Amino acid sequence: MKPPPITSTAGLERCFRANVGPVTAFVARRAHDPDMVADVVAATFLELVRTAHAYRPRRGSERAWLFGIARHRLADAVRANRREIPTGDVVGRDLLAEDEYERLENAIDALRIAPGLRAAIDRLPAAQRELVLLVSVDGLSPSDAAAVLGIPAVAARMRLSRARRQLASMTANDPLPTLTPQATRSVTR
Amino acid sequence: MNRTSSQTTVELPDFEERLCALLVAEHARLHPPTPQAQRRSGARRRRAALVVAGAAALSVAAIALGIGRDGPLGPSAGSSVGIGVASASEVSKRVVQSLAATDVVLHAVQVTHGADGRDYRSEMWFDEADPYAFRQLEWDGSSAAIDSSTRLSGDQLETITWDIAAGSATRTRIPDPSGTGEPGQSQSERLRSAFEGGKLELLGTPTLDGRKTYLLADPSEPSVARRIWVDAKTFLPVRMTAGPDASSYDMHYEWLPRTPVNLAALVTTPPADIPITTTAPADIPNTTAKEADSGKTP
Repeated sequence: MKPPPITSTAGLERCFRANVGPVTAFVARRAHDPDMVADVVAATFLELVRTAHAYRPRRGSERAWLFGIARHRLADAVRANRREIPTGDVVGRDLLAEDEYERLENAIDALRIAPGLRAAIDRLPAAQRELVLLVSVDGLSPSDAAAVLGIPAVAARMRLSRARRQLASMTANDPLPTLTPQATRSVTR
Repeated sequence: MNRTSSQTTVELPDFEERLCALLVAEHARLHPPTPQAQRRSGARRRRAALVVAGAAALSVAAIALGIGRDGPLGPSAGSSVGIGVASASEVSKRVVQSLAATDVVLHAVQVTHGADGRDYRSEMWFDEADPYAFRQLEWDGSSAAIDSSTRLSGDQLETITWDIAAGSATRTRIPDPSGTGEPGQSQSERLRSAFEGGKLELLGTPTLDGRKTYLLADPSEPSVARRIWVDAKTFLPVRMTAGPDASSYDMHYEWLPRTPVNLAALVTTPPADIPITTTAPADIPNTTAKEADSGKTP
């Protein structure tokens, strides 16, 4: 049976429940504190409610689309240097239960990328860096990562291939882990 | 998407339930379940604008590399034209018609504004009649760094990558490109979808590089702040910007006739003294959540 579209209430709830965990993890890897995570996650899904009509499956998965929204909300938060993201009547941090703040803090630590590998990734050009993070860390397929970044799938694949070569070359002379599949797995630890 | 279905998640049950309740309430507020509203909602969905990503600054690079090309479609860039179309919907309709042509080579130059304050430039060529044909040239400052192109050769997807700085070149062949997400939408299709939704607003008729244009904005995603310039004579998009944040970009489009000279620009051709080494397909990182999590998340 075809799942309900995200423009319907049932579809919205399905999409939310299927993606809220990964979106929270995506934001937690990039945010500074639990308040920011909660605010950005709330802002992301509120934007889903308000712009669901603009989603087109052929452009990428719902998750890729949500990651794209979350990226922009995070950029808003960082650019404005605000601890609270305006989302109308909803402030994400107010929705956190007492114990969840601490759990989120732990999650931020757990999801942090290993410093050595992070340093290598940070030395990549901006376009390659984000692609590597989306694929290697957030687990998107190259095609979905391409949709998040708004580039053709073939361009993402080429860029990713180059990024891996560059990382391998960087880490060959440094005491850093290389981005072998095994080391890649350590990225998320 | 099977890979992402098992990826790292963070579970916050109370937060999720509260947020879900708020989202459903917000949805009900925006879409009251009356028959009239349901009809309106259906119409909105049909009209909804698809957002296009992309970006660019034009053919300085191609000229620097000596890439030959025949001139762009339509009148010369400097020609003066009148602005006779007043509404965004009419401009959009004309753009959709113009983008239907497939006998075109699209040259796009993208400048991405990095979070580190630097600009990263890349050029792309697309054959609108062959969705597999694609070339990308990446720049490092003022020097061309990597030149790659992909095309379907028989039933194999062949990529040639010339690392200009390193003086090496490789050829990779993927025996069966199905499942790689390619060829995906053509650039014309992606652009066209932005104009089909009827959500664009006409901001003005500025002059861009000496030519009259229509400037349109997409208000459906205010945070993206996407703006598109359309040539007033050819009704083809000539520039798109998004931002202004760390991930923002500036894209310029050049629409070229599908002549042998312009098609040749789609092929990476390293100098004869650089041998092309054939390599295995790129080993793309393939982390799965179960492997990655190891019980670290709450």
